[in-house]
Amino acid sequence: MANSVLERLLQKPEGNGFDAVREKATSLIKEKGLPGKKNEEYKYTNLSRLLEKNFTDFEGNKEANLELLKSKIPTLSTIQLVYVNGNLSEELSSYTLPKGIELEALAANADSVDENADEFALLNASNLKNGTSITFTKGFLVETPIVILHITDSSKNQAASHPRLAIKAEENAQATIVELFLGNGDATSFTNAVTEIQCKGHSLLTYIKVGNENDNQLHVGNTKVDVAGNAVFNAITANFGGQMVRNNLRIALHESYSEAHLFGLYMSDEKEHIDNHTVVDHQMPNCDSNELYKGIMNGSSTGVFNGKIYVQQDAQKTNAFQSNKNILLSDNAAINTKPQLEIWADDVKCSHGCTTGKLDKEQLFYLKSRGIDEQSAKTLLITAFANEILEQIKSKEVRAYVQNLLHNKIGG
Amino acid sequence: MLKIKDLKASVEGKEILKGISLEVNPGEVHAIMGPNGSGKSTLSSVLAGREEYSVDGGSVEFLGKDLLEFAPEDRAREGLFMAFQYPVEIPGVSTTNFLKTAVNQVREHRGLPQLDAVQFLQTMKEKMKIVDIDQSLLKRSLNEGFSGGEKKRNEIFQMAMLEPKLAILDETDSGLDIDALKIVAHGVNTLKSPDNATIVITHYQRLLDYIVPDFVHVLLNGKIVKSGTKELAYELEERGYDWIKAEHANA
Repeated sequence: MANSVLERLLQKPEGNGFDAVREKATSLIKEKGLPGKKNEEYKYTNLSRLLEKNFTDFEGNKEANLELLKSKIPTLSTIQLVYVNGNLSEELSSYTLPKGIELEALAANADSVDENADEFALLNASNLKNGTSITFTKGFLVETPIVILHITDSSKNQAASHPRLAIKAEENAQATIVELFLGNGDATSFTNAVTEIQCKGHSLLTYIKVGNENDNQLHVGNTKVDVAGNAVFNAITANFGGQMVRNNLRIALHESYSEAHLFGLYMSDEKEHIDNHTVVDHQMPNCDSNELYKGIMNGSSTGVFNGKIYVQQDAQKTNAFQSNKNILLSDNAAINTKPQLEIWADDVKCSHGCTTGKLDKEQLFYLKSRGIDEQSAKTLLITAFANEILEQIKSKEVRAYVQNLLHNKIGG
Repeated sequence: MLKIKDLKASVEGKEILKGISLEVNPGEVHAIMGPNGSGKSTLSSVLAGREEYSVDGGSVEFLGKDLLEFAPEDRAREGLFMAFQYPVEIPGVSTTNFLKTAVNQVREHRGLPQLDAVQFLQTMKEKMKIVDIDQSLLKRSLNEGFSGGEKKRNEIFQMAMLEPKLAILDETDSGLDIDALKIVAHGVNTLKSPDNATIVITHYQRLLDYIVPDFVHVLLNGKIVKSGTKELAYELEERGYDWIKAEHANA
């Protein structure tokens, strides 16, 4: 079903050698259509309906006023690459690349288009114009985090961006990369990102995704990760807003002795909706995965957590743990949480669990009995709950930035 | 300082306090003793402002103001402190962390200047000595993995930091070994002054060897049935509560 909003979202860019990619992806997405309510994967997160409803006057992105975006840029001493509506802005970026990082334009051919890919990933490929490729070269330890800031600017008109990033950590490389998604402007905007990550043998990559978008923004992110033998991949996904946010994080542990650690934090209020879908695919023996997602829902916002763990037949001696904990701050907030384990091997340790509750009354009373007002007491408890995730961000600067986003969110 | 008049309170529709009257003046130490279920903890909970309890009658005046009108945080700011019988665990929140907020909100209420990080740390170090508590404990998640003694010392440490006018020690002695009991009692005695007062709620007399009360009250079935001096506590220790129960039943 090729619906009208899909036609509008196909921006038909030209050139850059991606014709074959776009052509294949376009025909696939036209055939499949955007996922509606009947699609099990998008049952709770009907993005198509919202796109249909809100994306009525989209006619392609307007040129952004870069001067006005300057105030959005965080003042971090990290390497910062700034993309506005999917285009790298040299003016807003600040970086000198140290040894060990290579930055290039993305190269892709039609084979890279997977017909089983998520529909929004296909939509991204249909609009592929100028992706970025970042490589951490073999054996290098890059201490400074790299921050990729994506701003979808809808200050002049409705806007849609389809950023695409390829990250590769070569053998024995170590690095931290942050993808930060912000919005600007009052018109509806749609960010549809794809990030493809490869961790080669013995590498250690920390990938931090932070979303702090406005209530007029829709966001889909497809992050696909391949982890090779003896490599460690850490993911921290933090979201503090957006009208509707969907993160798909798929990790394949495709060689022995690889590890993945997934942490997530989401806080929503008003009518926001934040959905995290994760897949950890244990393909080979002796791999570990550990997952902890925590959510705080206020107002009449909703959260979704869906965590799948596959342990394939060859993946003996797998350790796979998953936990999802939620706090509902209001009676109208809700969370749909669904852990799914599929285990085909017989010598594995796996566990999963989820909890949902309110702030602990006894704890609140204790703090208040020490003279602390209700709001400060709640802030202390929420911050403590969230810090278990944010402490995973080792860079003090980045952690402080994200903690500040959390504080602003708690403050209202 | 504290004037309780004919206080009646219930929880979940069950009447527990059936008309309590008690007056506490600055500089005094009062002990409230009584068997299990007599209403000791309900009294402290009502005074501290626990929501689950409903006050059905009577009044509580604290420093000339109607205490029952105040939210729990305002009671603390006005100068009431309760040392919990069962201090809660709060993962991820350290004593240092929440006390900084508490101390400064209390100071603001009392019209005192805010303490900056250095002043706060200095004050902490002084007060830590009173209950012989280690700074590393104060940096850990509140009460998580603390021993019974550590929890109660931490309560008294918080009391020292918040400088209350009236402290209510709710069965602070329960589960304490004698060494911890002595440290806690020493802390309470050090903080004692002619301007503040203490209510010690306890089941046993032992704590009263170390925190010597001016008055002892026996709470039974939601009422104070007998008041006296510290000798009354010894008598209770020796004879138990049955004779008072019998006396009260006959009366």
